[in-house]
Amino acid sequence: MEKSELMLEIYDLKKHFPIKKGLMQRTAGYVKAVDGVSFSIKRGQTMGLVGESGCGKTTVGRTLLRLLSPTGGRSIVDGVDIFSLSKKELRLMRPKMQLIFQDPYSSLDPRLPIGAIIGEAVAEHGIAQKKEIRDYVLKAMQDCELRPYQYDRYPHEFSGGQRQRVCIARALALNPELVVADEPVSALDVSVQAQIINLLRDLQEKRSLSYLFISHDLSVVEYISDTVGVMYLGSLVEFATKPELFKHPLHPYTKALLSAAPTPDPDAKTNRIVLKGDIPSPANPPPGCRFHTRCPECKKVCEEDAPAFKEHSPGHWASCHFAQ
Amino acid sequence: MSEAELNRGQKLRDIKRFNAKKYKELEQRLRHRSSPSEWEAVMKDSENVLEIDGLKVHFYTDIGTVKAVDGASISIPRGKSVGIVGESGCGKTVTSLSIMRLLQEPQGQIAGGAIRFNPGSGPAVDLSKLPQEKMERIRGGDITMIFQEPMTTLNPVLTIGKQLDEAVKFHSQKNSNGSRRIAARSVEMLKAVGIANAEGVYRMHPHELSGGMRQRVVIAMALMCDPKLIIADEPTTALDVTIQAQILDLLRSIKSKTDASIMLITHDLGVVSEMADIVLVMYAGRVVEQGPVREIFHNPCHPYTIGLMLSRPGVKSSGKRLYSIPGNVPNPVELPDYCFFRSRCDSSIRSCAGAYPPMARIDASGHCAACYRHVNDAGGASHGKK
Ligand SMILES: Nc1ncnc2c1ncn2[C@@H]1O[C@H](COP(=O)(O)OP(=O)(O)OP(=O)(O)O)[C@@H](O)[C@H]1O
Ligand SMILES: Nc1ncnc2c1ncn2[C@@H]1O[C@H](COP(=O)(O)OP(=O)(O)O)[C@@H](O)[C@H]1O
Ligand code: SF4
Ligand code: SF4
Ligand SMILES: [Mg+2]
Ligand SMILES: [Mg+2]
Repeated sequence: MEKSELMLEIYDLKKHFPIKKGLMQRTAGYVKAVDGVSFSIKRGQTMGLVGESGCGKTTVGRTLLRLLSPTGGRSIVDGVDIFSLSKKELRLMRPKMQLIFQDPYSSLDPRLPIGAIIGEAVAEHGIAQKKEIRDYVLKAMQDCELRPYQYDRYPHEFSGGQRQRVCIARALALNPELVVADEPVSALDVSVQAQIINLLRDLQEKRSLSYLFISHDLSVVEYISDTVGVMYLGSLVEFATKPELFKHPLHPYTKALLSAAPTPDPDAKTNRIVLKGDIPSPANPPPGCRFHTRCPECKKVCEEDAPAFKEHSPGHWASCHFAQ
Repeated sequence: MSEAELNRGQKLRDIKRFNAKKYKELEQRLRHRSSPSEWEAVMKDSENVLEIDGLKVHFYTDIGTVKAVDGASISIPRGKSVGIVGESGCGKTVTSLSIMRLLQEPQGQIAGGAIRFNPGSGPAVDLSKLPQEKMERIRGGDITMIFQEPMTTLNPVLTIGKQLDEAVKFHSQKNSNGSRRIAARSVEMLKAVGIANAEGVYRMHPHELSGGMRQRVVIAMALMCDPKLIIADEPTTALDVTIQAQILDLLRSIKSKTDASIMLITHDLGVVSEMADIVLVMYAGRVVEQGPVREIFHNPCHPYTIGLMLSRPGVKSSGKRLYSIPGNVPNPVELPDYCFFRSRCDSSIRSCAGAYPPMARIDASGHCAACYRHVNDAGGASHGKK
């Protein structure tokens, strides 16, 4: 099959979680964790996805891989419509699209040595012959700068940074083409963060991987991404190439987010946009523009009409009535 | 059994015996009724609110003695905010818990050094030697603490108002304040930290508030008794960026309105650069560099500080590989007797093989670094410690 230029396309992705109430566990409503998100990632590129806690980043990542059953929309990985596959076909697709978790502590089975953790899925998907698995795993470990003697060690003997390397080795041992990295460095100290980011970039170059890089840290996203999407309460509010988004943000939320991050320069002037109030609950999002309760530029129309997600200049999308 | 196993068994027994001895010593110290002459102290500089001198904090664990803080010296001038940065495990929290005397005893103990506190009125005291009942008066009164997770401070079953009122009642002289006056002050304080519906929140329970509002309540509580020193340990780390911006704004305005000193602990270089007047960098239980915030950010001198600054991704580094400090932090059970950073340092020189480096003065601004690279620069080392 010919390789398509786009590694990932998602259209109007939706994931609603039912809210269960009472003894009968009646469905009393829905948390619209992801409510109509569309974007695409070119082969070999990295898209950063930013937004605050609970805005739906993780849910986007898991739903598009069909690790959660979607409520609606389409997810196309390398030309294949993931949501229309049978269980068996999906299983064959699995190695191609992998997830790296936020928490390197809880995502590794404490009872298994590192070699077995990495080798498990390799054997399951028949990626290497039984006799060759050990060599194959050692090679994958080497790619992630883990030492051969660590093959028989257990997770608790590893530091946070080393565990994250193990998670990366486990995902990359399956030769994926698309990797969803969900806050892969958020639990790590700055100096360890740098090692992991370098590793992810080196592996991308060597294997022309495509990443969806989820993070709440703008400096990390700015460093690693080609394109960036900004989420607020279940929707994408802005999408553009990295330089465009950081230089000419259109959406008031993006502007506030960019100005909110503290800069490590004591002389930098802080023209900070401090947003009022709290992030509303996704179970009960505000009507009209979802950002209107906190938006410093809110007008009457914003309280009633939801703005459309429009392309304002080539490749630069935003949903705000007054974006220009 | 092999010889190695026998040795290991012997070693573990030795550790157990040593720990038991340490527990006993602590028990004796706690039972001893000390007199003021034992804990009164004289500040080196009367402008300082707090002077930590060569503090050592040890944890006596089954695998050996963890030297969590190993000779840290920190001075906090009146009305200034001092930022403490360093990576996870370097001893920031343990230092602040020692000041508050909230270490998990008997495993954790102050094993040496002094923590002199200047309450403004009356003589200075050494907190490390103060009897617990005297400490209880200071804790939450003259010295207050804001933790990363607000629920460490808040009681889930009491209303916000009750908790704020209690803080004042406990620390103020009896009868000097009527209940109604106290309640009014609590509401006032909630307004001061930017809570819009202060009267309503006064009657609510913590679970009815968002994370950002809870942290505001904790800050209000910390301010209730006009503290001389506020210790904030990662006060915004658990919060979202836009809420973090609100809380940093609040802390900044408190800084300009009161003359309390702030000790701000964080691993976020951005947060310190915005909030602190003076920055201290900790590594493996010691302060390796300190100075005015501008000096530390524009002219970092210790190789570890330089490495930290370079590791942070930013616009300038885009496209290039990020700098990363090679290797790992030393094992706190087996700290070396030379520079703790030597095995990771890319600029070590011959003298680095010697004893732990002294604090070398960089310039007259108070900027110093514990590094041999700077011992002969700009006037040589100030041999503060023997
Ligand atoms: N299994 C679930 N059942 C009910 N609600 C859920 C479930 N998983 C997620 N949610 C809700 O969906 C919303 C989005 O969650 P998600 O974890 O995707 O956000 P996030 O942006 O990744 O947050 P964080 O930065 O905290 O990880 C949240 O309000 C969350 O509480
Ligand atoms: N209760 C404890 N028992 C044993 N070791 C501890 C305990 N609390 C902290 N430590 C150790 O003390 C060191 C410093 O920890 P801490 O001050 O919490 O670091 P941080 O700088 O991240 O706040 C670490 O090596 C840690 O493992
Ligand atoms: S549509 Fe209105 S409320 Fe929404 S972001 Fe734009 S200006 Fe703000
Ligand atoms: S004293 Fe030597 S080894 Fe230690 S940080 Fe300085 S140059 Fe490096
Ligand atoms: Mg998440
Ligand atoms: Mg800590």
